[in-house]
Amino acid sequence: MSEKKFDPVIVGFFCNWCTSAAADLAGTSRLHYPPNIRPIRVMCSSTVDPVYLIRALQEGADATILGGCHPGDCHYITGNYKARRRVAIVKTVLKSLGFDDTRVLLEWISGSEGPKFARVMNEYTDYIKQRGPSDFKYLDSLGGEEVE
Amino acid sequence: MGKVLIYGLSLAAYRAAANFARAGHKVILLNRGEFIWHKFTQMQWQQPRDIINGYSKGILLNIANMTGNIEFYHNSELLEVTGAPGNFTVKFKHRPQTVNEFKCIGCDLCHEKCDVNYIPMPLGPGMRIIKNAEECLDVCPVKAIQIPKEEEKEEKVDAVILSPEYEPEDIKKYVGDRKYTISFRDFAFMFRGKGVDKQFLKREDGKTPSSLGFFIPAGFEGYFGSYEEHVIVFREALNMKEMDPNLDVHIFLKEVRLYGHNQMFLYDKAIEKGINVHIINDLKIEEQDNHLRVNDVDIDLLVVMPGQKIPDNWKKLAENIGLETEHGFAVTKPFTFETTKEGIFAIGEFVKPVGSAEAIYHGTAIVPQAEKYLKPPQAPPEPKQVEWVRDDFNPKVGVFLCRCALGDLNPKVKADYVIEKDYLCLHPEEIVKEIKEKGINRVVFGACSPALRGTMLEMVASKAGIHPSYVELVQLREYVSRVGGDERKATAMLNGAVEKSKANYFVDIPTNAVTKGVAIIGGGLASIIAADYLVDKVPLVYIITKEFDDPHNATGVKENTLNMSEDELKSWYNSLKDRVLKRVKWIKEDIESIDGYLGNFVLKAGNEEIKAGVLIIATGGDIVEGGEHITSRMEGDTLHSSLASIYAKRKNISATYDLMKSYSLLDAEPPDAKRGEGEPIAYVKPRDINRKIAEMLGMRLDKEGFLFFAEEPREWVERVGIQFTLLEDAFGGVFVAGLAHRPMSIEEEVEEAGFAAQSAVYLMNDRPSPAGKFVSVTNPRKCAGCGICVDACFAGARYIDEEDHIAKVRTELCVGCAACANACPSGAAVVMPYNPNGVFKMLKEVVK
Repeated sequence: MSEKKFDPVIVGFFCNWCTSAAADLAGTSRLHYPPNIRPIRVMCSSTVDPVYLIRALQEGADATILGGCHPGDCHYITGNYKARRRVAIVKTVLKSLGFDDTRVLLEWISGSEGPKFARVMNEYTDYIKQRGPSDFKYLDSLGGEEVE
Repeated sequence: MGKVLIYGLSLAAYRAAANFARAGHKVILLNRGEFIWHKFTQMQWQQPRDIINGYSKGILLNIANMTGNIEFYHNSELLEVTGAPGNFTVKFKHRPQTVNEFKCIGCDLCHEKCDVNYIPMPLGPGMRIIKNAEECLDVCPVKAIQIPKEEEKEEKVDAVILSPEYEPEDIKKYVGDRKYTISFRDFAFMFRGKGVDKQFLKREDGKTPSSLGFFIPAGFEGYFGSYEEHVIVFREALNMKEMDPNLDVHIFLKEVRLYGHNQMFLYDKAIEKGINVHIINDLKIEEQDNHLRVNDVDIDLLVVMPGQKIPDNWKKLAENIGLETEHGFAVTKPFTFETTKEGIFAIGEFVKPVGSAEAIYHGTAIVPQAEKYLKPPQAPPEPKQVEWVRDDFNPKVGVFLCRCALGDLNPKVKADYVIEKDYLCLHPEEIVKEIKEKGINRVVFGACSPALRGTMLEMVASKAGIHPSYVELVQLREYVSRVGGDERKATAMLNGAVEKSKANYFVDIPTNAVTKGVAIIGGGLASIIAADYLVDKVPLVYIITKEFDDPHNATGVKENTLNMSEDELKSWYNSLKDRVLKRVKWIKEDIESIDGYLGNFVLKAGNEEIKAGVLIIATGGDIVEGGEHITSRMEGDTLHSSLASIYAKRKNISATYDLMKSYSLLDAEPPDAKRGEGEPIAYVKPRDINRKIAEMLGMRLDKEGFLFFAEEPREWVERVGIQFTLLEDAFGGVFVAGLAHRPMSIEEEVEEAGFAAQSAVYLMNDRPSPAGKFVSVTNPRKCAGCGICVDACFAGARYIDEEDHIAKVRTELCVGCAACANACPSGAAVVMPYNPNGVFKMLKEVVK
């Protein structure tokens, strides 16, 4: 274990209509949250393929957040319900492969909830800092060889 | 080009301004507050938590920017209106904003040097009011600071539209000075911005209530309100129950004003979830130690949803202009929004208590009504053809960084060119020059939010020939520098965008080719009225029906609400019908089949085949009379038309009623009747053909046979949907009007028909894809033609081509949600610019 303080990277996929707008509001209101979050604007939470979430973890992210509109508020009628189902599946897959399923977080944050956005980002980063680096990184440290 | 003056900025007024501007008329908008939505509208009083507010404003500003047809005056007051329709002289005074909303880029430089009152708002820079504006004019880099000097102004306009905002009643009227009572707005504010969470539910004294009561004073003396209050309270009660199932939730009311099946589901759901609904005649509140006793129920916190009060400025306004009023509301002529003064219209909450959906109808249907006084609109200028730079394989990335967004950060970007400027938005020509000189074909902007200058920068790039699908925007300011981000984060995000832009490829965004014709199905009154609006504006109007309704059908009962005799009504209707039928194509057959989609419908009726861009369904209904019961419960079959109460009143029938569960607002004045049960007195029976139409178009019917449409939300989804977008896009080109939709009065039919007609006119314009650059495409090499994407697409934009058996996209319908891309098992469906290749490359950089 390195002595350096663990500084995680958390990739956030935020839907254009709600959570990205909340991130915007947090920005214009100057609500600070840890720089560990890397926001990516997507059109809808259902734009995010489960593969994107797993790929982000594979590439070295310690966790991922998927942010969408509250149930019933989706700009595309049912996109957030689809996202909810997908995240449930991704979590099951991660768990059954022995990975930590709390590395994927799904949150509903509407566009006027800037303070909530900052709160969730703070809480989740703290949680991940406690949890330590992701298991994918441990696999990488083995040398990247295929394990039978 | 006509010119209208709109006074006030209620929800209806904002829709009206947007609609007039898009129809090509000039609008002078007198906003009574310091900035847009400073004076709260009904929606903002009642739903202060919803993002809808921010988006509505965004839509208005966007349309103002794009059309250049709206002139805003803030802090204004209408002083005088003289002259005649088509040539009014209006005098008003106004005081400019201290910070021009349109120019402000949110750089916050003024915060350091001036005395600023900052009000954060979603989607935009937030509002600033500067107390010492004179002293800090030079601080602002974009010269947005103005001296707030009040001045009078005179303008010539063709028509005047009045839509001032309402005020809510004081809750003390109902609950006095009692402790543990709170207005709904203050209650909703507990959770505003923070999310609905148990930790925020607190009483004044810091105690978390374990029982919660909601009280709606509908039916009490002097109360004015619509169904909206009831919908909102029921929804909020359900929210609270969902937040904490152990919370004891009660609703106290005299009448349940939930209209139609799709609002009634809220009532049923409330009962199902264990919310106690108490029907009371009087509110009896006792203060006990630490809680209230409300009608023999212990309540820790009582939330009161007040009704509408008539503000003083309404009285002044009506006196100034000389309008007739009733209970403080403006009186309008039958079938129109025109007040007793010709050429002066009243809409929204100024006419009667309305829900948000009606306000939107008013704001749209006003356009054809006022247009008779306006000069014809100017045709929109032809869009210029741009020569796009097109190179998918040799990316040459230019990164433009804005100092204003970066703050103190110095990210290390890996790109062909990195160009830094103080304010990108102030130097569009320099950006164009750099792009052209250096031969850049991928542009990454490190700037601010798309709600501010992001979209504008995209347009700058397209001036240099860079297509939007080659442009990436990184919100350095809102996502990094303003929220405590560091250089590592900025570098990672910029490099990610650079990598992604390299993988983007060119997707052209075609405009929507719409068949220039409207087909009206059915012969209800709404059909004739919609046709009357349309004949002048659309080249081809079809009415498909065997026969037309009698006018009295339209009223719901033979007695109408307008104090017109049956003969008067008949002659009005017949002259209108004659005028319309001379100019439309009447196909005297029943509809047989409907195919196609928005912009390209194909209908068959008899031997005729018709092509139309938009459908209006106005099948009318039959009226059934008899019985002595005014309204019925949901378990009974019939939700009656409110007109039954009026009918009973006029005919002097002594009737009984139970819960006011019905369709319309007119029930606000129930007749002299006692509670009881019995047969419905009169109701509207929808036509059987609705069932066939519903099948052909995949629409929903309620159990009585009315077609579902906008304002009765399915699980609230469409409701939010319709306020997000400008309605026209929301329904795939199919509008339902009149008795096909629900029992309603003639006035309501006129409003709905006007809304459908105006929306159809708007849809007749060739528009670009609603999603902008986010467009779905199919990779033909990978597509297996399985059709899963067709099922996944709720917009109906995907279909399987019959010739080559692969999925194709109707780009004009695509909204860019990427549901198809996710559903596709073979990776053939892709939404630009989110191609997986680019996203993976981006993720590699982003996690560094």
